[in-house]
Amino acid sequence: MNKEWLITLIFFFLGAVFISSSIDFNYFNLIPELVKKLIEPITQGILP
Amino acid sequence: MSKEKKILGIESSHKRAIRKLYTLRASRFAIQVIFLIIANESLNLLLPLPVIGLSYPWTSFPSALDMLQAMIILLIPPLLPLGSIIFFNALFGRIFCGWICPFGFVQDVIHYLTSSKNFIKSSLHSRLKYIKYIIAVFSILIFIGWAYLDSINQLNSLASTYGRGVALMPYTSFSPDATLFGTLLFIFSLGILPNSISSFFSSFNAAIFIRYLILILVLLACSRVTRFWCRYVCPMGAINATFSTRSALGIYRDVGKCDDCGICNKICPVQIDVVNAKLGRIDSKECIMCFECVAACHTRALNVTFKRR
Ligand code: SF4
Ligand code: SF4
Repeated sequence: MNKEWLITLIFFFLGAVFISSSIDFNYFNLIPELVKKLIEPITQGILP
Repeated sequence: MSKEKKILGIESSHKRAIRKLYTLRASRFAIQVIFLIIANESLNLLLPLPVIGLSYPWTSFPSALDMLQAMIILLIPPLLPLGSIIFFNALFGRIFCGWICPFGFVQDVIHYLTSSKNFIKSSLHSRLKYIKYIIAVFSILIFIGWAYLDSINQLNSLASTYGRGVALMPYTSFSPDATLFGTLLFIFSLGILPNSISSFFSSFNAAIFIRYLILILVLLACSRVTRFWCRYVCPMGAINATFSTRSALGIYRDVGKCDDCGICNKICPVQIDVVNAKLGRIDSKECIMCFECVAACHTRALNVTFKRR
């Protein structure tokens, strides 16, 4: 197998492992909470 | 010898290439609009893939970079944003930049409206393109520094001095896409703009002023040079580029078919030297996978494929 494909596959599996472990950790449910937390700062300071 | 008329920069006799370029532009435009709507219409987090720009109050998709910074700073391992960045870029290259990113779309629209230049001096371009990597590294170091402050319970004092935005999302607090799709839209939604210009100005403080200034400067630069933000500044683009170097999907040039007409170089919005691509593969770090060069090539010497050459 050539080196180019090796790099592609390493990145591919690394990404897949990260995504699947984030599902294990229930991160998909964490995102809404985080977004709520983040909405506040983005609007802060722009109200008269 | 009379010069042949050109359509979209292509000689008018190359009808197939012109047709393909029109179709490609229309499809890309449509997909960008669809993603802009998805990014800005609340999906109530049915699809929480962190890929699109944060633009409260309408968006439900935080961008991967927004999530990455918040998770690092809040000491949560950023597996989901990092995983989706690595996975999609390893597979498809920077297709996000060419087809999905709402700020990339804004820059394309500016290009169509102002006919901004695709070219600047090559030596200058090859130096400037590294700035985005420096900005990306610098941003990540700031996230890690803020995470350290969080770990020793000092983040709150940072937030009380500089605001919660700077403490939780230091990059987003100043990025032009968040100003355009977040702050400005929010001000419109409150009816402050266009109804009450005076309350708009009374909302100004130093941070807001810097945000608007950055947005205006970036939009002006994009009206001079195509995709200026993507080429030279965007840290999200730099991170995408890092994992796209050997993407499975690539664009290859068939040396045998190429007649060196150079239209691909002229049409590329990010100034890639397609004609001189080493080993036949186009530089997939900088390429935003818009496929304009492929459509414009009248000899079909350029191909988008998963097959390595
Ligand atoms: S480089 Fe940045 S702004 Fe440009 S398309 Fe990619 S993510 Fe969007
Ligand atoms: S090399 Fe081709 S596909 Fe890549 S950005 Fe340039 S025109 Fe688009």
